[in-house]
Order: sequence, then structure tokens, then C-alpha cells
Amino acid sequence: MNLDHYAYLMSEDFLSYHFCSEGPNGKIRKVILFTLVTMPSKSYYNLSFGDLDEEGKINDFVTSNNHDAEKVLATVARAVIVFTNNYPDAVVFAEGSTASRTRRYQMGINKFWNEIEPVFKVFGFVKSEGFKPFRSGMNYMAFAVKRKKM
Amino acid sequence: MLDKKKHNKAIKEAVSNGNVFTNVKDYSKDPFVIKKIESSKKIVEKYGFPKELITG
Repeated sequence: MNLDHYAYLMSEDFLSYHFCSEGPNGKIRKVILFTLVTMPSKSYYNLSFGDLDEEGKINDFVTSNNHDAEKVLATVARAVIVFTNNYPDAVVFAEGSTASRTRRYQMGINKFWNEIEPVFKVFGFVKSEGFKPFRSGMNYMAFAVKRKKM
Repeated sequence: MLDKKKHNKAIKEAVSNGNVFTNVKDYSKDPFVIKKIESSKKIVEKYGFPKELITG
């Protein structure tokens, strides 16, 4: 998956990633976070992704319109790879802030399925059905992924 | 098997250009992060993860 992506800064524990989107609307700071959520049945890492506002708070309802959606998505994918390289047993839960953003995740998974499938177990969440193995053409509300054992 | 090795190698090579920073802000109390976690918890509590994600 050697996609064009933004250079990023990451924290020593591989849980935070920062990068700048650059385009017609200028530079927009973005952050990707993996937060451990501990449940009685299973712990997992929640993926949060959004823009950083001037106060340093995360906002994921802004539409950047920086004409770089694919490069931004590739950077998120890169962060997932780096994170799971270092947390190979982690389950990562990802849900877009809007249906259209979740759909964008889905389009990215679809597009690079041949590269993703050998390396990750990918499940999509369907309301009232739960998590199902990812299938192209289905609409999902969220995703859960885990590295396959090599 | 060869394909898996190739993909693994590609992934390892792909992670070499992230720089580490140490002054990390704590976002755990950010309303956005809290909201996202609560949303995911509702799904995981109600439906759980498939056994393929829990066991191996």
C-alpha cells in the first residue's frame, strides 16, 4: 500500500498522529487518535480522526474541501498500519462522524481490498445484525479491523 | 505464503517516514473523543465483536 500520503508526527506510544492537509483552503491540522477502551468482554482501540481547531480541540464536522480526500485517507490508513505494527493484537474500531464519511472509509477499503485483505481481518457493522465480514457493495455503519497473524 | 511475506514486507517498509514527537497533548477529555468512544461502546456492548477478532 504505497499510497501518496502526508508526512506525519506520531507519539512515542504510537497512539497519536498529527499531519497537515494542504490545498486550496490552506493548511489544516489533523489528528488521528487510537484510544484504548476497556470492556468486560473485550478491550479495543477506538480510532478518532478530525481537524484541530485554533483552540486545539478536535472537530470532525468541518468539511475541509482541500481536494485531497484520497491523500488524507491514505494517511489514516498509514496510521492504522503503524499502530497495528506495534499493537498487533489490537482490535481497531472506526466509525465516521457522518454517514458520508463512513462511506468514504468504506470506499477506501473497497479500493485497496486486494492489499488490505491479506493483512487485516475486516468486519463491517450492520445495524440490527452486528459485525459481518467485510464485503464489497455492502453499506456499513462502522468497521472493526485486526491484523492477521503472519 | 509468498504473497503474505510480500505484503508484510511492503507494510514494514511503508512506515518508515513518521517522526516521533514527545510533547503529546492529552486528548482523552476532548468532547469529540468522548463522544466517539461512547458511540462505539454502545455498539460493542450490544453486539460484541465477532469471535474471529476476539480469539486470534
